[in-house]
Amino acid sequence: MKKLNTLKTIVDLFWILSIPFIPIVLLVIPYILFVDNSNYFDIHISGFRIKIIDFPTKILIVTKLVSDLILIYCVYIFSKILEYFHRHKIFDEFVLKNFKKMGILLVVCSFIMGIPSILYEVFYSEKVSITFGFTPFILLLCIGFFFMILSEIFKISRNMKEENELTI
Amino acid sequence: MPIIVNLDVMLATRKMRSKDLAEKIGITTANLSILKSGKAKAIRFSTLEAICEALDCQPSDILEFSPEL
Repeated sequence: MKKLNTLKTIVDLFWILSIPFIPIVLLVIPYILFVDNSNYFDIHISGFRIKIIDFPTKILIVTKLVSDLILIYCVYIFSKILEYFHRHKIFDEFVLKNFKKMGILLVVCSFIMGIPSILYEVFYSEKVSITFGFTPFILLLCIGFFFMILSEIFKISRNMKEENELTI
Repeated sequence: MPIIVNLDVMLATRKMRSKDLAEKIGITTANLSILKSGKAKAIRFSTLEAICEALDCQPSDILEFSPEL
């Protein structure tokens, strides 16, 4: 339980610290899309600096911000799941559904984040670089699939628990 | 589930109450109720043996297979 409390504190803290970021992002998205903001900010995405701000770049920035919002939502879901764990409702339908939802969102997020970055690198940096090791794209994809599998495992465990309880 | 539990029929023919059977075979009335209502997912051989012994019947008198429509 001590470990669960520690994890819940960390996740809750992260979620609380992310709350102010949500309205800022929601305000920044239309600003980026509709205002001609040439070079007011120094923007870095996935490690490389964005020099030219044209329409595709704007789309890239917006997709990055959307994926950040999705990640914040995932943190919120995870904090709710931990709350259920804290109340000993481990095999609740809410937990199962939200583990699956988190997995799908993380996979979507990894694609939203990864593919535009690669395309930007190809078209604007005019070079293709191969990175070995754990890139954020691969890591998010793996975590997403992990949560989806976890949801399936929890479903099987719940059935086994029910079966055990209903064996007379 | 296609397995039907005819325990209530057997209890009626033996004129025995659920509470008495539960006491005799050593399970709770709540568990016996789960068994009677067909909500049970499985039955232990030891429980089946105890029921058959208490009601003086065969497992086939208690359990029946009926294909689902």
